Amino acid sequence: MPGKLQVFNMVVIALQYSLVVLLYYFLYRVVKLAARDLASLAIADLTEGVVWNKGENAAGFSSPARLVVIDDRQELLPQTLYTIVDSLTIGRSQHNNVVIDNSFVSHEHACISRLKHNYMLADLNSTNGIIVNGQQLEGETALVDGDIIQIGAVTLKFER
Amino acid sequence: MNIHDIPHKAIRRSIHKAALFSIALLVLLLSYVVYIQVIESNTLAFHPLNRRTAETSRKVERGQITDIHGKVLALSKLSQQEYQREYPYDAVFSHVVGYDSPKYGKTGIEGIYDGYLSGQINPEKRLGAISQLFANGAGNTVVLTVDAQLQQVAYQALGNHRGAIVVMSPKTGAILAMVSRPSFDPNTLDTTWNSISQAASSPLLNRAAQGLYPPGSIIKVMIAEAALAEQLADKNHQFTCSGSLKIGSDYTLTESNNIAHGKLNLREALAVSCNVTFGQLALDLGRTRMAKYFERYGFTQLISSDIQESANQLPDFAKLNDGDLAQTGIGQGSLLVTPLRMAMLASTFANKGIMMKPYLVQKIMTPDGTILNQTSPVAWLSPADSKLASQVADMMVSVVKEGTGSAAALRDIQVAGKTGTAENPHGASHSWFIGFAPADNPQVAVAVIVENAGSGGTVAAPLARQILLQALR
Amino acid sequence: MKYEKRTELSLLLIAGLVLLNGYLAVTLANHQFSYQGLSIISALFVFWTLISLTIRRYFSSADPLLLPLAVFLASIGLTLILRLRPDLFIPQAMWLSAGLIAFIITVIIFRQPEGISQYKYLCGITGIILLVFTIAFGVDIGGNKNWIILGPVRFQPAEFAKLLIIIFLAAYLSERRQLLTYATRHYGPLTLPHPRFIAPLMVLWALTMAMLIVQRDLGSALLYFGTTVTMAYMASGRWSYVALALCMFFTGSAICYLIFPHVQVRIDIWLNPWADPTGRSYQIVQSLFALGSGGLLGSGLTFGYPSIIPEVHTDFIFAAIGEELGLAGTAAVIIAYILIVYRAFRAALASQIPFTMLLAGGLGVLTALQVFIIIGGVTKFLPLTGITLPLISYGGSSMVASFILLGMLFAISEATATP
Repeated sequence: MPGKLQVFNMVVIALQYSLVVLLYYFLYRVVKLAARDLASLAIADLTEGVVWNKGENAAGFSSPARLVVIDDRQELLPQTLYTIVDSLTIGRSQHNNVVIDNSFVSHEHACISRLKHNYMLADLNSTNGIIVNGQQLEGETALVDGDIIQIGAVTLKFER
Repeated sequence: MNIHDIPHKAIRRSIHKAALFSIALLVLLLSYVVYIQVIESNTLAFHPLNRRTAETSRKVERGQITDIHGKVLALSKLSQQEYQREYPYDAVFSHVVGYDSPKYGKTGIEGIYDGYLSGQINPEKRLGAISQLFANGAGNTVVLTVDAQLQQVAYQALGNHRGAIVVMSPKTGAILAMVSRPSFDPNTLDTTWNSISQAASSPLLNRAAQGLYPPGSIIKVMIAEAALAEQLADKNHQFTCSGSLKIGSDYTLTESNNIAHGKLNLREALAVSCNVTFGQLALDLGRTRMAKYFERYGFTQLISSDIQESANQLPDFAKLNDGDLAQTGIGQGSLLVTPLRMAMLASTFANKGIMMKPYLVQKIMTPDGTILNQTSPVAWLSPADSKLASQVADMMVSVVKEGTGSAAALRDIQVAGKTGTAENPHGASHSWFIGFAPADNPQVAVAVIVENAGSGGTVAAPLARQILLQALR
Repeated sequence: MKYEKRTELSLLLIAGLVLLNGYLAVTLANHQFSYQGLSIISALFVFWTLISLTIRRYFSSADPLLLPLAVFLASIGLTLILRLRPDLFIPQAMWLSAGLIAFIITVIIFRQPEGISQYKYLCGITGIILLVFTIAFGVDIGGNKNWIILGPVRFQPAEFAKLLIIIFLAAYLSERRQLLTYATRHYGPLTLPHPRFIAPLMVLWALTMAMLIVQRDLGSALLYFGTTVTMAYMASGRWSYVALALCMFFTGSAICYLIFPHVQVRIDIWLNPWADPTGRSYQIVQSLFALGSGGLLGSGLTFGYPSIIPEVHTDFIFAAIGEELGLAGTAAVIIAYILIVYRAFRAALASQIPFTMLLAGGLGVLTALQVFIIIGGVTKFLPLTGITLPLISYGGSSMVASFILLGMLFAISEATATP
């Protein structure tokens, strides 16, 4: 029965095309969803920016760690208190969080970063080093509440 | 609960860049896959090494190859459930038609037009799986421009000599015959393969388009045109031939047989093939202009067509010394050309200075006679001004009328031509003749080379005469 | 019903239809249709729907596109395996089920992804041990010298090692990113990080070079190295890492090329496959023929000749897709991968914690690079390598590892989804 065979062949061929159609229907649905959610993400980004402008202290930590300026006779620093949100860098370059504009201080001088529950202070191979509680710092150390950090003419206290 | 501090912004920025980079990589990959599957698709699908065509062709009747009048040159016959290729003309067309062997691949028209012959290039193929429903029982027919009768005459004319003959229509570029000897029988390839593929006489080589030979004196027609175009000579300018031309302190160009031709003009110089005159003209043209004329006549580029040709070899003109430059002017030295190009050179002067692109396939038809593809003639280059071309054509008439090519003359039809006797390191000189006829309205151009057979006027010219006679019948 | 759940279920249904359609197209054409096959497909369909329903009870807002995309690609893979090696259809279906189980387990383990970072050294060391183990004791099966045979179990540890190493890197780099960013030394015009902080990166570089030499595996070396470098860049934002790493990689590769003939052979095949099309470059040449013969719409499933290519059901499955489904099929596959990569980075950018940001980003880079290297290899865009096409190639390790990867992304996207 050639007629029946012909119909069967046509079904087989039609399945080839419906497969391709299905592939692209699936991708079309996914792309449509992804695009919609990209649009909502963009809106979320805008509101995010507003929240950020209100101030970083909105962070939900019970007691954010901070650096208190206790000695700044040459008036090198614009602020008297720095919050350490996740990390903080100190140096002469403008991209640091704490900029100390003094030739004694290296461009990237020191860095404090949070490692789980500890705050680590690291000397970034500065020329003149860091003094912690009267001792020259070698490499890194974990900071505890009340540590006194001296960098050049500036003295800071770590509090948490 | 949101912590939006500055470092997070920085990380976000670099993650964003990494994301763009990663996605760009994949988009680049996608465009490359598009390139492979769309632009390179046909080249890859019908590559001779792609076994897919062979697999399907065993189930499908391969299309015929015929001459211009429909005489069958290759066909498929069913034997034991599988199709086998047969070649009724045995060895006569083997270099043009090529062969189709499951073991040794495909060459010639069988190779280049495999997609059509196997029926795999058809419009439905683009539609994907649905082409399975349309699968027609047979491949397409490829109709060549060659004339089987003329081809046979040319094949017989060469006899047991090694050599090649190219006959073409100067006005269209259609190849009317293309013969290379020694040849081989594509019907018995499986049993004779070892002997023919290793034979020193290389029967598999298509000498007509891939054999490289020094052109000898036939190149003088081109030098003559260059001299006219650069106004180094006009019709009446008198040259003096003392039998030898001393170049520099240590090199002397001599006439064959050391005959001094005395005073003669350009037409007479071509007729007697005066080496001194043309050597001197090559020196007068100089390196740059010689290079320019070889380029103008297409020797520096390949023709992209259905004929597989070898690249011609030119000397490095900038580094040539005077002796070698003069040698190039008389077609010797390191200059090597194919017979196909010499037929095209003759055609240029037959066709008012326009060089047509040579072609072998006239049309491609489906089994029910629908034409899929038809070749229309294309001008390839216009190396010479039409007035100068006809001046050179006149000079070529004198070559046959009163010069070295008299053996090519026909009784009622004026023939134009040029003989050549090319010295070569493999023994006796190669015998050359190029020409066309009728001189006033050229219908056919021819190039004949007979390897190591001696002078062009005595061997190649009479062969050309037979072919012109048959072609103009 | 919640939006995410509805989306996921409807997409999974379409992916199921893809598998059903593929099954019918193949089996009707080659007359192998059986109700047993049909019931396997139904079982798979029920299984992934159940997985989705279960997981949505606890993870209501996670990315609804990831699981359907994975199932979609796996369905294409199953169809092709059925076409190329019908005997491997049932094993591959089992691997898909194993992958789905691995997916749900991973999602549960990673329900609080930030907690995972404390196991970073465990992950890193296990990953490196697995790699060293493979490099030292790898057995060659089907051209890839990265199999480990333990009694009856055969698997490719490298597939899992890369995930562990990415977890380690994400944790390590996110903790030290300040140091990596600012602790620098100046070498003339170059600003490079202090050696102390890039030691782990150097260890990975040494490992990749070992992979290149011992396993002759340029692809895996490139994959590990590319992922490491990109993650270091994401953490630090410093191009000097990328520059340094590229220099090291190319110097290393160039030295390997000069010293080791087998590396040379691979590169030469890549540069000029037509020099030896029936010998050393047989695979790549056949792969190109398959892709070219496929053209725009392909020959149709079962109408092509993909079995001419050796190893077509694993490394070269992409060429088979190209031949039988044409550009329509290959483009769909690449687009699906692009979408997975996009969703991975989306999870990374939506995340609030550096560790999960880097983890999701790293997994995105890994997926992109892996797809790029293997598809690039079979299309002659890159030198040919022996890594698998995730979710599509035949193989258990690769399938399970891919689903673990997607499970991590799924959990991260839940943890970061803003309600």
